[in-house]
Amino acid sequence: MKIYWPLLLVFMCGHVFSQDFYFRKEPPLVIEDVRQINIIFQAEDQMIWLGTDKGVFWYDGRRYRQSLRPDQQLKKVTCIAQSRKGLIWAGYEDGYIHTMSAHGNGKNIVADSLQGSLISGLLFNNADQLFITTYGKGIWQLDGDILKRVRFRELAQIDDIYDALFDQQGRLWLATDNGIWIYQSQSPESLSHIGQDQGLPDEIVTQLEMSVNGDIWIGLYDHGLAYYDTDRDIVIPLMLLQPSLGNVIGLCIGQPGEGWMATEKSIVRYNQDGSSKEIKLPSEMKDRVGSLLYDVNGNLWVANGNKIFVANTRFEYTDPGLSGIQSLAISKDKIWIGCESGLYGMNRQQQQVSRYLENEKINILSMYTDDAGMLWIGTFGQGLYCFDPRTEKHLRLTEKNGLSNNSILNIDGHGETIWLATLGGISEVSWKGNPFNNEISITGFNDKFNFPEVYVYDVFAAPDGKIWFGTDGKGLYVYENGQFRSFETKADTVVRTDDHPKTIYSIAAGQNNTIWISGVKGQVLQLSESGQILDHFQGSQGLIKSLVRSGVSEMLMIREEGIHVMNRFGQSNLYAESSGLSSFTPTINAAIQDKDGSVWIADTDRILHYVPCREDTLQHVRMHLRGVSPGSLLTDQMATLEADSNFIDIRYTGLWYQDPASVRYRYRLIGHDHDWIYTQDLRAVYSGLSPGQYTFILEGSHSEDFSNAPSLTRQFVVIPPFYLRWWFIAGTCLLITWIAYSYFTARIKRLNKLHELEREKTMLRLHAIQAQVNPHFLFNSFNTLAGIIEENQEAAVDYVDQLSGFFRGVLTHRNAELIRLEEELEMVRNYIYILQKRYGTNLLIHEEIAHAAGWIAPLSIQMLVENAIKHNIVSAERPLSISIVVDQEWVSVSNPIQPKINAPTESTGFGLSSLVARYVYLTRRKIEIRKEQNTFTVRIPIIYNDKPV
Amino acid sequence: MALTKANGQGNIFSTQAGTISFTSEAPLEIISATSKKMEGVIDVTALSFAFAVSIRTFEGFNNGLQQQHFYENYLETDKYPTATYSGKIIEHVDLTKPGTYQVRAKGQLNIHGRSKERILKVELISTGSEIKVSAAFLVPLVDHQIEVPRIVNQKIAQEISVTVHGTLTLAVKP
Repeated sequence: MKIYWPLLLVFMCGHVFSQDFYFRKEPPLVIEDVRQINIIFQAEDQMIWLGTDKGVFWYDGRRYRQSLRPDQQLKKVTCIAQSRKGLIWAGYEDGYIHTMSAHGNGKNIVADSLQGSLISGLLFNNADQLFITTYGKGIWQLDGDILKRVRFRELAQIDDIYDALFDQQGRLWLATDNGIWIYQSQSPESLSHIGQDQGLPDEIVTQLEMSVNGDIWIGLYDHGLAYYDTDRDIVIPLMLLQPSLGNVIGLCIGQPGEGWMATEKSIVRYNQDGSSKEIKLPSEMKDRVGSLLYDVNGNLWVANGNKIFVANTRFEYTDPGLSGIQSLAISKDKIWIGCESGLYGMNRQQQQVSRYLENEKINILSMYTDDAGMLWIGTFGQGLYCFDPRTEKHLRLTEKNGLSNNSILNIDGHGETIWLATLGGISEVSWKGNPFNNEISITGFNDKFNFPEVYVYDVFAAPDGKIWFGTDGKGLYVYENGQFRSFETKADTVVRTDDHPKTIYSIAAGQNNTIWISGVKGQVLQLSESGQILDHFQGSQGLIKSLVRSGVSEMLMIREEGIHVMNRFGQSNLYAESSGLSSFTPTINAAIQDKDGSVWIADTDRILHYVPCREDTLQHVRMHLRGVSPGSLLTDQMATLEADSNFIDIRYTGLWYQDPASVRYRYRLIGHDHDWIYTQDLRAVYSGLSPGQYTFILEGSHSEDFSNAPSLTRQFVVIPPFYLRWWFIAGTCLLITWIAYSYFTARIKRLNKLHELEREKTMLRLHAIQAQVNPHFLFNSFNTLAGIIEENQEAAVDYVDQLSGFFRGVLTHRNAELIRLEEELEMVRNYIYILQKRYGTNLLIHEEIAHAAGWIAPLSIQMLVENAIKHNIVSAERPLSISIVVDQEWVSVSNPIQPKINAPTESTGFGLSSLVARYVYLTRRKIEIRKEQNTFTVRIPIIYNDKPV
Repeated sequence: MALTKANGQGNIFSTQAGTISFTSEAPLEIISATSKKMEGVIDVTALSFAFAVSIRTFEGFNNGLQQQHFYENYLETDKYPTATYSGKIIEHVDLTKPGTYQVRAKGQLNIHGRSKERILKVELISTGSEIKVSAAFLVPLVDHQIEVPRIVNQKIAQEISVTVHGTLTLAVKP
């Protein structure tokens, strides 16, 4: 690697100028008695992590939170890094290494071999493998779970490694006391060295930073800054720091081409044009500078003891030691400052401020540098001056020369003509060649165009040649091609007609020949060529004193409360008191754009310089979930909540380090809230959620406008309690249906059965009755009667009595299920009388009636007697004796078995069986039929409880 | 004179009578003291060094009470009687060859029992048989936890300037 000698021209030594940023002091980190913050690290998700002498903390702009290491010890953190997967790692001075997440969980690397040695770097190559550099023990690599030392030739000699990184080719760069070593582990394995022989100004290298284009910035402890150009493979020395500033202890890259160096006492910015500026540190910084960070939003973070200072590097302050600054103008080498007391010029390198036009006591309101370098000065009451910076000659024009008024609020123009916005209308001043030598012509628009003598606040020469004028009360005027006319804004649906400004303070160019105007009520509108309102800025409620473009696409709107910076996406940031802009008193239209796109703003006794971001980025609050309950809401999968844990508790924070106090949030639970809930709290809690599906949306914004805010969404479902679950309800319904169905079916069956029973009973009774009206019996009875009638008239009458008595009984009890035992016995006696008359002594009836209470089925005993006669021989040779025994419980009818030879004419099985069947319905005890030892006995139970209905 | 390694040992240059002075420049008072009994050793082969001075050998305070405060209260010499600085030389120089070398010494500076790693610029002038050492550096009190009460704040600077001079001669080879 050779040095290209011409590039040494870039090597600047010495010129370090003081430049002010406003450093906002963050609340001090007082947890755990932290003394020194050594590392400020910003993760991919924009969270700020701090490495201190008592462990790791993370900071969201409001509060510091500790991230304890797994062994709970509080030691000095020596490096913080983030793996490609996004996990944060920390290394300590005692060799301890662990990972953590913002939720505080950590796991550590057990490394006896590293114990006691300071971890100077944790880095991840393209394959996300972890390499560890130490102070005293070389380099290690984590391979799976095994820690191995990287050994390669001279690497073994290297013990103290200050810093390391992987370059875009995957090579490992090591900053050591002996220059830079570059190690390539992939084959071919190789080791190369950058030392003084290769152009490195000094061998002690303490910082390495890689820029987005792959080049490496090199911080040299005792020297300053150097640069490695990857394309040309050379090292270029950039800057030698004055020894009085100390040693380089921190380095970070800001905007592309911009390097920030920190020494223990100072911060120096190196610019890509070779110049450098020493940043004046706030007087509150008493301790040593511990660490430096340039964050993604362009803020510069400086750790000082246990305090953190943050500066917005877009705005720089210069204090030229003047007061009453009302106007600014730019020329190639100077910034012209117009004050109440006269004209001053500030050397662009801000080294010196000089007074010009000393003999003229002028109160300068406006200034303009023309293309030839002449400075035109508008004053308060003293007319117009033209000042030639080269000769320091001046000339003066007043109302006497034809100006419409001696108080000139604004000047703009192009070529050899300028227009003056005055307190008494508009004047046009033009010249040819050198205005000092030639005639200057002045035209008053009041006379020429009948323009009233009103205050004109602003004149703007647009790029397309039109000249615009903002007046007091008469609206906007435009001068084009010799024509001067009032410019009407067309009616608009969004902006009310009475909001169309009639008093216009400031005009600036928009894209594509549009213009922006600001009105006295704070309205800011973008107008098309035809007067249509294309856009309006909503964020401001106060008077906008200046509108000025910055960079290519930004617009600055300057108010007393602060400066709104609007990017081309329409998003705006307010840079105000909370970001450091305190006691800001801008004057009207005292802001001017420089050739490089930056903007100079006059602030009464100081000058602000706004440098636009080179990259046009969307700037919004970065939302973070700090903790959620239930934990399943951490991921963005649909979560499921049980009915008894139907609540959510979401703790969040929005990162906007520029101005943490300005962050506001809104959230909404779809399914529960009708509308957004706006808050500045950091917690959303919902409890007692009824079952259903919900979507939780959370947005954060640093302005009132949430239209561009990114949102965080989580979806979840609350399961209804088991008694509301579909399967439970369905099951229950089915169960109920089944029960009802079964019940009704059973009932029908039961009813049917009852019906059947009734029918059977009736049938049986019918049969019983039918059996009783037995023609055979009648026939035999009448036969017998006929015999008796012949013999004995009285006996016949008795017989007929008995017979009729019997049939009377049958008639009386034909419907009854049960009759009294006495009544049955009565009937049985009647029957027996009749039978005895017929059979005489062939039939012997034996009665043994101990008891005659209770109930019995009608004609049951009778039937048994009848059966006995039917089935058995009843003759003189073989008389039949039937005994009827009645006791407490039973009626027994028994007879000896002497069967007839001929089968009976009727099937009597039916009769007895039907009687048995009848008794089944009547009582529990069954009729007993016994055949034993030639005796046939039938016992009928006497019923006491079951009375017939 | 060629110096050769003998018995594997390096070449050692040493002194017992180096001079070390410090000055504290505070708004209300300037305090300085010097010791002429600094001991030092440089190994020119290994490029390592070790220097030590007993605090009690400093003389030159403005008054006895001041000296007493320094010893007993601020530096606590009964507990930490010695201040040391030892480490290695970063540049790979051959001090056996006569010449003037501006090098950096990197080592642990131990004062008041607390060590701090320091990289100090040192000038070494070698004649071949002798090495003259000069260095000047600042020692911030906070680095070594030297606590000065607020009352005397205006009288004692937060950073002490130290200068070192010494002539080291080649040690007699065993």
